[in-house]
Amino acid sequence: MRRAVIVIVGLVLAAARTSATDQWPSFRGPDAGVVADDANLPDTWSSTENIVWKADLPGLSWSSPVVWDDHIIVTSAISAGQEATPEKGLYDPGDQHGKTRSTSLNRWMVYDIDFETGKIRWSRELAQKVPPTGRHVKNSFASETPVIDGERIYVYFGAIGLVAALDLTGQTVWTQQVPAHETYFDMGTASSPVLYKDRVYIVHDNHSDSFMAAFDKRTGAQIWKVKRDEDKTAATWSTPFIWENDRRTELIVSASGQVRSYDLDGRLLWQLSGMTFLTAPSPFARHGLLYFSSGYPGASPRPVYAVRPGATGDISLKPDATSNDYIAWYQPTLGTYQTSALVYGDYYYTLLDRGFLLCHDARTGKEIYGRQRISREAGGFTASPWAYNGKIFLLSEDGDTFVVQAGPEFKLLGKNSLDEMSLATPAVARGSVILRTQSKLYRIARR
Amino acid sequence: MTCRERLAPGLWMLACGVCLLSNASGSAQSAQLVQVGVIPAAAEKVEVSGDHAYLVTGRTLAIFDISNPGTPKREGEYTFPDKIWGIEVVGSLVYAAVDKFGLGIVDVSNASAPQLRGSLKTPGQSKSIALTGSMAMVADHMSGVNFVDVSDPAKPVFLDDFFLDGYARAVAARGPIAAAVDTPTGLYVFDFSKPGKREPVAIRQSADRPGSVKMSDPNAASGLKVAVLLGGGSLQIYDIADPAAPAKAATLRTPGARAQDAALQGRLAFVADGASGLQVVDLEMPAKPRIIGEFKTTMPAHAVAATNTLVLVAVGAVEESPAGSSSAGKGQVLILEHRLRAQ
Repeated sequence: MRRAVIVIVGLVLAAARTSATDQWPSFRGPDAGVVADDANLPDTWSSTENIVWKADLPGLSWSSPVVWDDHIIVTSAISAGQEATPEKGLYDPGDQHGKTRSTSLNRWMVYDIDFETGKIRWSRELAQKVPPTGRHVKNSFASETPVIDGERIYVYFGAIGLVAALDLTGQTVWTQQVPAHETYFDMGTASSPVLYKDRVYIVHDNHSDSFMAAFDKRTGAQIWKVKRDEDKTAATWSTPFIWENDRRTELIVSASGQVRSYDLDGRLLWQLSGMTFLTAPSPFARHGLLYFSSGYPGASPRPVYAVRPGATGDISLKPDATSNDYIAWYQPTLGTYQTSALVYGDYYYTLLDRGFLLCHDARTGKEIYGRQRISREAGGFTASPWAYNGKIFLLSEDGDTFVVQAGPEFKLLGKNSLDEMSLATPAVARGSVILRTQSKLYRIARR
Repeated sequence: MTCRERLAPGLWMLACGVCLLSNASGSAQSAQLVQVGVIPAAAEKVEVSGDHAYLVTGRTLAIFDISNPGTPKREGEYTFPDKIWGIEVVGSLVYAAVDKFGLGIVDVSNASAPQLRGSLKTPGQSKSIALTGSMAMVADHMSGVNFVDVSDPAKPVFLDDFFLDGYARAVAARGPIAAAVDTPTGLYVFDFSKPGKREPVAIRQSADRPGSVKMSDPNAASGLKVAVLLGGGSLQIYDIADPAAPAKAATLRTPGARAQDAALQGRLAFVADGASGLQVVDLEMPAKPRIIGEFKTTMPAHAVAATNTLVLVAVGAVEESPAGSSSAGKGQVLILEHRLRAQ
């Protein structure tokens, strides 16, 4: 009996060690920002409260950290020169549209940070050159979040067209060079790579030769590459999504021209028109529905779609329609510019870039509460929201994380400040929030 | 004595040789325009009040005495820390929408030495400003329309705001009626004659990329009550006789298809129309706007201001000097006199 109890306890502990929240392998984690409840996760923090450690990060990057066991992986681009300073908030950058080009040597870096100590375990320089493409002053040359599977780290730097895999000791396993094209108004790239089974997928929509490609994760060999008809539709920063539904597994790419679903060999399954130009939010699924959106404030519509599995062909809505056989619901003005939405429990939460939160029924799209100003102190928002323990966390560009009660009533619970510009969506793993600001990486945990 | 009265009595006779007239519609009246002066300075925005012209270039507001339009005289300037997107002149105060600096109020009672009287930071970029009574409306890129009590110009006080779904582009007010526009499609009409929350009495999502809005003077003899939106290269005229029920009366595509700025004076709209120069539009029948005059400019026209006798048209390229203290480039501001003439 005693032995059986020990075995069971051992199995439980083993299961706990490998639970989803132990690892945060990709942008927004395994569950699109939703984290399993954990009493150890912090509700409050500041630059001095609940900080296990903080580490200086060189260069500039808005990519998110990813976590596997005690490895925290971050990327960066380090310029040898003086680069334009990013500015907070949504703003009109004037006639130059915020374009900036670097004339300095940049180094594209990958860092492994020790989860326990915050020390750099190793760093790897993958490229050194003057960036051949431009970027928006608020973008970086390393905005794509890496992905990790416990054996390797896969990175994609769209600015220089570099795809690479490293092992967990920092050794380069393979590299692949893909074209690095100029982007809409030199805004740069940000669409992160995705990993599914034995393949790494990337998307690079641009003005001359938009494409998607799949690589063998072990060797880097290109398995296929398909052209995407997005050259005339401006930028896409959305990260593709692998949608495992009850019918099949699909690769979803949300973009300004069309949202397209592909099979895992790049064959088109269905497509949808009706997005707005400049698409940043990333698709995700919950409750058997696929959600995607776009919402540049200066354009119309700013749509959100919830789609059922099994579609084929063109599933675009007819004029004035809000649903069809595959579109469960549609909201024409709910889309955000940068942030991705969050489905937590029964609710679909929209974090407007300019500081408002809205809540809708995730299954029907029915409004639960309309636009709620998060706080008059809140600036702009780029990082996507995350949730645990019945709370929603909203990281502003000022470095303030506003904590909001989950559920059908809006209630602001608090504000946690780190006093530095923050655009990267944090990782949450092993009872800690791993939060990246412009120059630092924080491990935050209840202490 | 106004600048109009100081014009040489024979100028209009002389002007006939240089003005360009248009009366394509064969209406009873046409607009007659004659250049009577030039300010040799580039400007992105221009306003006129009394005997003074106010030119905006980059961060700098420059003041010119145009009491004698033939010989405008630079009097003074004030430089803000950020770009000036819009100004409104009320008496001896210039209210400025100054990018991330926010609302700035400059005392120009001594035009040779303008002084900052007060300021208030708005959440994002201040893009446009309008005054209604003692309240300023500021179009802010982040937060929509900000309402600011400016009864004490030295201490502007934030009152409230109204969020706009799109990017707030411009505000305008005449008396208690005000309007705001956002891109891509929004027109928001406010009526402050009625007590209540500072919210629009009407919202129309029917405009085409409005970048600017102008209001007619409801007390003018013309009785015209319209809001004119500029965007998509056209004038979009909304009838706001009932502010709670604005209706798009007409869209007028100007010859240059570059309508960038307009000044409303009585029933006339003076329109800076890019390479096509200045267009004069008769709005007497808002549903049937008619071009009744034009003034060809040698450089593209991009900003305009008007009094009941003068039109100031900013033309040509604008470049801000590195120090931001003065304007440069090939631009200038033409001073025209206008009048209606029976056919």
